[in-house]
Amino acid sequence: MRTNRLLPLVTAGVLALAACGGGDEVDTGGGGGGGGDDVLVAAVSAEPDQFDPHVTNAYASFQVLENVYDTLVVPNAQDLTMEPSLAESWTTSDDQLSWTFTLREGVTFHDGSEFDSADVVYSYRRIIDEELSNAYRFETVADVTAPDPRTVVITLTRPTPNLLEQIGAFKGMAIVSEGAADEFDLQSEANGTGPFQLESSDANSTVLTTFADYWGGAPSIDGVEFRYISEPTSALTALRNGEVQWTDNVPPQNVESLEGDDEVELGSVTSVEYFYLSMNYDVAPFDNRDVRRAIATAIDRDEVTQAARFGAAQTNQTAIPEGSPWYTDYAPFEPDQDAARQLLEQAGVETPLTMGLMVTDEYPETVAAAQVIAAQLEPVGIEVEIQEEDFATWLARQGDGDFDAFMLSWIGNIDPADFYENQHLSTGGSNYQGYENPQVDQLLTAAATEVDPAVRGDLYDQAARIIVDDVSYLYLYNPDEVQAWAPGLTGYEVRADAAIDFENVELP
Amino acid sequence: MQQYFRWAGNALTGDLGVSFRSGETVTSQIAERLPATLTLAVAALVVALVIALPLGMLSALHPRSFVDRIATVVSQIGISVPDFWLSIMLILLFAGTLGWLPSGGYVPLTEDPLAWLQRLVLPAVATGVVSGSVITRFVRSSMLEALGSDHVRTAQAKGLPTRQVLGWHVLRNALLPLVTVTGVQLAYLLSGVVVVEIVFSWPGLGQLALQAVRDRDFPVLQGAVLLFALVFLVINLLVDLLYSRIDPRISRR
Amino acid sequence: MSAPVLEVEDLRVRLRTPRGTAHVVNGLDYTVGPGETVAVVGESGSGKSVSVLALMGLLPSGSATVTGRALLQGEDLLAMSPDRLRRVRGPGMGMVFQDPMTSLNPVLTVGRQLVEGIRAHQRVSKQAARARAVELLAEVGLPDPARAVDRYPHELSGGMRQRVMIAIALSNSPALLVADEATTALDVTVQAQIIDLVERLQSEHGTGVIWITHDLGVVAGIADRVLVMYGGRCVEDGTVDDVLDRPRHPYTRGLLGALPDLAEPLADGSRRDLATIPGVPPPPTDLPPGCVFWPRCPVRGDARCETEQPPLTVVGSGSAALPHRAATWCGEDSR
Repeated sequence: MRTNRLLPLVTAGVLALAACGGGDEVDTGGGGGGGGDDVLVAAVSAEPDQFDPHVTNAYASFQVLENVYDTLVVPNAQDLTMEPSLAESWTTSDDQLSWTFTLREGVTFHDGSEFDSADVVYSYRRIIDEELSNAYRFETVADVTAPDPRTVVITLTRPTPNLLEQIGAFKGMAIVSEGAADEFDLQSEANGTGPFQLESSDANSTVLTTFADYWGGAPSIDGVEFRYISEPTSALTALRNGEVQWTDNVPPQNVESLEGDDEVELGSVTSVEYFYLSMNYDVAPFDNRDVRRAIATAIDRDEVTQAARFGAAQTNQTAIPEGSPWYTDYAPFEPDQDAARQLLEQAGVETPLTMGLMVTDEYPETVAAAQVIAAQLEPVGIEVEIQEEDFATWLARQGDGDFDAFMLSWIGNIDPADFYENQHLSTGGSNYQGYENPQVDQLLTAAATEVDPAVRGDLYDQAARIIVDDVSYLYLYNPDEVQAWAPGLTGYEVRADAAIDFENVELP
Repeated sequence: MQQYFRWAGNALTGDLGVSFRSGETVTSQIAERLPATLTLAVAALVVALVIALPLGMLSALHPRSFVDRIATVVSQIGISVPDFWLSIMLILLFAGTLGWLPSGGYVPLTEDPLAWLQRLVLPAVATGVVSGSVITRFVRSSMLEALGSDHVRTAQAKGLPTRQVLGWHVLRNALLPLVTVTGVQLAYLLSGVVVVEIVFSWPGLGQLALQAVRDRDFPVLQGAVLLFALVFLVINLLVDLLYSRIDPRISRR
Repeated sequence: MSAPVLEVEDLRVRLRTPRGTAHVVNGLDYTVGPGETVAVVGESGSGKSVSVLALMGLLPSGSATVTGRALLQGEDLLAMSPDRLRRVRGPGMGMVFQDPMTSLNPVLTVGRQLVEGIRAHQRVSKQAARARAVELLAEVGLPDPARAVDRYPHELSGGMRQRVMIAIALSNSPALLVADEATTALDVTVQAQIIDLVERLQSEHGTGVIWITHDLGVVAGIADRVLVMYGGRCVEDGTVDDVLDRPRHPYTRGLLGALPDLAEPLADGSRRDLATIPGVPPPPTDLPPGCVFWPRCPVRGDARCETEQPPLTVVGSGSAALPHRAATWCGEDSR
């Protein structure tokens, strides 16, 4: 019958048609092995949303942008202290209100144009004037000027001891070429000074190629392909297979087995991220300090860490991790269920007390942690109602104050101000729990402008202790940043701030 | 309401708006992922039919035999197995332990036919097995019904050779309802099999839609839903047309 | 008399069912001569259809066991290889089934279905077969056969479809035609036409016909002999006159009732169906040991009825060639 012959023809036709499309540009890493030439194939778990460094907030975007743009200063890979990048050196005025940066010479953008102070002014003014994503980092900046092509002067409204961190912590404050926003579509194109150029991006991967004229010396590899593999099993199989040579998609439960695996090189470092639980000061009885302290006493943090991270983390009763020079060695709470019960009684709270704990599947470890916490609080007379929300709803409820307690993490913290200001200042922008302690406010405000590092450190130390005692946040742990790569791959190290820097990588 | 009409009007001219998340146009995002979804859907359907037709037919021809029992168990497993688990198992076995095939990603046919095929195999099998199991049971029951029908008895009574009876009288009728089932499966496959896409890093429409839901990226979501609805309509139309061509009982206009 | 077209000897069919073995046909003996019409009557479940399906080898081989002999023009149908049997179907015997609505393949044209039947057994070209198909359709009285040949079954009425079935059955000029309730699904006027058609064809071609039916009009009209089946057995057979005028078996008597003249239509023109007897036939899985009619028999004239199966014996006078036989213990005078 005629129609029987029609069907296979139609099928073949559709398949051929379908297969012809896909991908805007040539996928240089298309083959099964480690890309054509010497390209590093990196498996990342999510797709960047866009490439404008001043606008995007997505970690996936910054994984790429880290290698494409530069800032004036960058955190050191080992201890996160700020060191020169596009700025070679700097001085501060005596009144601490003016910083003068001397820029590096011989730096070119990907399009060949020369880098100078006009580019810096343009970039910073763009962020500030257009109130883009990271404008808050320039809060204390009065003006940015360029007296000559090699010099940039930043004047401040008040002394800002952490200015370097503010302008260099991550690529959200990257330097783009003057007029870049008009000349390029920064959402999809990039003209940076970094070691790699943005070549193409499609639904499969983002491809970078080496920039031969990079000021730090051209990378030895020919390029990087960031391939999106969201499923950890697939990513790890691809790594073992040789299809990719690097991945950060390593779930904590796999760490132990991977450690003994010859086919995979594992790297892990305690990160600056921290997970915490916070209670709503506007909801009784969580406004009662004794109630919060009771909960902080009832919880066994080690157990929580084990359940949520399978041990790939450091339990911490403060926010800043132990490796940091700003670390506060303070762990006042010992898990003690009897003491917890006493505290509750003392507070005059009727048990069982119900507490809604808002977590999200976007960060599955919060769910796991919540379950353990619920088990730990039950004998004390607190019934935890775990409320698992999708991330957008979670954020909305947090913003509306519609919660008893919530659990999440903060990332990208380098300077102690990052760790404490926004969340615990009574006027802090991220103070969703509604914490108000005038003493803490005073300490934090003073520390914000204290230029002597020792004094500053002590101020934050004091503030931290009070925050912990008041249980504004119930800190849980600093997770390890775990990444895996092919054995024999050199020139790469895992960073505590989880920035991904491939400029020195050499493939096996 | 006004917003809706404005959107619909724009949609007719191909303007589906701009993604909240990335700033790209919705049309370009959908167009970018359409080939991958199309390829996987068709390939999965081919796998499904390759499994279902012989298995279903054999089962019906030898009911309650060993073959039939095996086929029933296999298709039952195929329906109950979660596609996530199956996908992971396939990756671990074929990409991991054996290292025969890559673990995912999509390469267009025009770029590298071998790589295209290599990457298509596992996701197509993972999806096709489930689809195929559904279709197998359908083929079996449809064939059994056809086998027992009166006109088959007539054909046998005429003294026709068995091959002819099977081909023109049994299959020709048993496979008619298959058109609808296949159409439904195809429509389902074209709306993107999210789980398989995620596990195999297959840049398809399912992933796009899921991401849009999580990001509250309404323009993208609306565009995707519109597309799925269109796909459904078109397939229904095609099925109807096909029926009118192959079943003389359905009158043609 | 010329050699019989069909000789059935001790035909038995056992079917395997979930409820045990069903003895559906239990020792059938009869013959059909050329040009002769044998009507087989009985209630549903008496084994009529199964017995002819057995002859054609159309029962499911897995669950059906057929024993006995059935000589079609001297060759035993039941002992043939499947291949030989396939080749005998068509030229040897043709069958017309009850439901014309479902007996034809809905997706093939009528002509196609005729042609495939012809070309399965005769080495002729497609055009020749098609021409023959048109001829056959004309023979069975289909209007405009040249156009009808390209029609699909759903485009024809029930009566026309049944004519097509008859055309198909006769397309290879079989020696034997089996009609299983071929007119039951049709309305009365059409029934008469079909019956006339078969009669005409039979006299033209000399085909032997087995006609399974409820319809006394058929029996009285074109049947030469009658065979009454009950519980898988022949309980009475003989010429039409013998059986209808002088029924011996209580079952036959019950079927015929006490009606004066069965061949005449009623005042409204309808034919009389067989009368109904209270009760139901025994299940083939559980047949009574004695006379198979005993549980329902209003007569029960003999002590042996309950325990001993009466053999089929000749009763009454009548020609030796076509004897009147009945399987009953009841004597002629029992009532």
